[in-house]
Amino acid sequence: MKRRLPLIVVLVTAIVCMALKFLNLGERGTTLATDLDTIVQTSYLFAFLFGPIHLIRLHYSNVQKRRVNWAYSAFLVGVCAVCTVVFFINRIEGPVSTFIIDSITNATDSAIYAMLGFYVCSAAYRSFKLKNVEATILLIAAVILMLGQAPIGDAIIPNTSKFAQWILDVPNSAGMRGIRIGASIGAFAASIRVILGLERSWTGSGS
Amino acid sequence: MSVEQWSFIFKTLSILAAWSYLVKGDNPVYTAVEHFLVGSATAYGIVYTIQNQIVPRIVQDIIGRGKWGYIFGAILGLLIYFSFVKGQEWIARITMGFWIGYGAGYSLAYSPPVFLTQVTDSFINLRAGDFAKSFNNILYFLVVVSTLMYFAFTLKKDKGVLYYGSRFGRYALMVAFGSAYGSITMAYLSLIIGQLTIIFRDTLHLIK
Amino acid sequence: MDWKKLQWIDVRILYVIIVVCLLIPMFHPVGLPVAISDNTRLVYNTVESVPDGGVIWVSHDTGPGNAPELNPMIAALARQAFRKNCKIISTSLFNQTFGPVTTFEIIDEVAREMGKEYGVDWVHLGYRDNAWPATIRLMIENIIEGAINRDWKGEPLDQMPLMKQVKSIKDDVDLIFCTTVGSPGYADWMTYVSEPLHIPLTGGASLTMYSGVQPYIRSGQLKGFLGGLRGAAEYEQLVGVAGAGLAGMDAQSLGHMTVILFLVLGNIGYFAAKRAGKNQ
Repeated sequence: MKRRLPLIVVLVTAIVCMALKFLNLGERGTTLATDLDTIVQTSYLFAFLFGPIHLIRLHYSNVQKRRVNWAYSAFLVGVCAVCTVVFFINRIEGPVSTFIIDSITNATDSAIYAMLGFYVCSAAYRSFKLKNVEATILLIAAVILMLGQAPIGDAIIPNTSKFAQWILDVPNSAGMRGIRIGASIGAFAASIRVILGLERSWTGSGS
Repeated sequence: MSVEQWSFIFKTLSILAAWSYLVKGDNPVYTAVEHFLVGSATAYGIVYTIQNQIVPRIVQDIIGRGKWGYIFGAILGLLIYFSFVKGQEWIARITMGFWIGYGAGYSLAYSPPVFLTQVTDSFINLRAGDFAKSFNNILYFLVVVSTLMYFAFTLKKDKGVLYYGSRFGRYALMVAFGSAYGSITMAYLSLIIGQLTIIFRDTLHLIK
Repeated sequence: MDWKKLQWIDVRILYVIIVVCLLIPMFHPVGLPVAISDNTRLVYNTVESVPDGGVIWVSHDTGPGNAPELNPMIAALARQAFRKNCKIISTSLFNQTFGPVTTFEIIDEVAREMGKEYGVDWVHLGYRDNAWPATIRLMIENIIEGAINRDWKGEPLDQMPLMKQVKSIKDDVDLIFCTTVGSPGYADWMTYVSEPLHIPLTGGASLTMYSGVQPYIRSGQLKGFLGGLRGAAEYEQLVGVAGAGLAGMDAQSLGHMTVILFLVLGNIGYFAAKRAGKNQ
């Protein structure tokens, strides 16, 4: 029962969703679809503390057991508590909240992500070697795109941007389409496996 | 100094703290801002959801308009917290099952038109009139087919059309990945440019 | 010279070189011309084809990471839309901390400059909890119900004049303009909104995803799509305002040349080491 019930819920919900799309159930169908959407939306909303509780439990346990870098965990829990109070008092659109989120949180997030730019440069230097035909094709396409997409490409070799655009439009687009078609078939198969209960790793019991 | 200027100073300090990782690897400054980021973002998420979504749903919809049916959704959402109760985790899976069924069901119902347009659009006119267009169309068709041949892992591809087709597909994929790499390089450089603009233009006013 | 050593340069030196190379053109801009691609023209024309006073749904689905690439697109779109007296309803569904504040600030700056009023000419719904596609399916039928009657600040939507005119995506929205860095993004808007309702979909993607959107542009499922900072720069030219997109193009040029130089150096070192190995 404990194992089967969630699988039955998946099957029934999926069948109802597909029926709502494919069958003409009239006014009742529309009402049912709206009710279902509202239930999903509301259930998501009320599950919003799931992530934060996990996070705080993890870091609280780090502090309690004095694990390596426990001080940072304490800092995180403290920041989370203080910011929650501040955001509640100031409201999320208030000047203090906006300052914290815009000037520190988002700025840090953006800066951490921008570090990938440095890693791409070092990857170009360290890993991009002309070892075989495939690597050579890959590198030539990359160089043409890099030249073609920056204005300097046309300044050095006229029409580089047009050639780069042709690579994007024809061979790249066709290759990506092949990947997309393959991936979509895979996604269909995965969805069907989940609905039929063949893929049940999410229940913690393996496939 | 204006609030805006203070904001740029804090942005610059955050950028430098994050980028300290590039010079010294994991270091106290980087780790501290990283933990601040996670802590403050979590707090923001909690308050945003309560202020803009949960309170209106309860006060306006359930109490105000008497839409008591919403309580069913709320209870379903609350069941997810049973995953923190030892021995009762299976109850949380009912909610997960509902979400997974909803996602998979609608995905199966709505994706085919998007996917099938991609398939039908690949059957293009190979004699399009002018040479350039015909050449592009033939190449396009061949690349799509050969890429699919490459991904057909269950077929034996040791000789004949399948061998050459999948080999051509592999080279075509390299062109696609190469152009993706070229594009990605540009994307990530844009991000560094964005950070440098904050430091040198907005904060230090060294660039116009 | 021992060419093999070219393989083992400290990466931190490379980091400094890339920063310096990006900074030089920022201090001394050259203003290299940026050719406008057909894709960008298609995006511009698609927005232009919305009837004057029509409604454009803008979904700035990005996080702080890719924002430098995609923010200029939203600023330029807001300018083009407001010039045509189009109304904007915006969401930002990808990131909870970025979605509410930053998207509001970008559009608000343009709106103030062009004398457009919040609530009358545009509304920002902000981030919505990621109950995809439930929330958006509800908004297709009734925007206020789907958004739980609140904008990003928590103000009631039913009090805003614009929301009295624009009731649902299905009946009242003329165009969807979304930026994309992942999911939710263009694929979700296409699957659940633009394809079933036949509403034109355009926008822009981070260049990390740009090669992946090409098949959809070709099939016409996307009415053109802007690619990263370059796409933003081209679009800014068409809209007729120089913004952050164009400003970054010179730095981009030298940055690319530097990466190509790194590629060459790495390969010289690799082949020198290979040759030395053979000789031994």
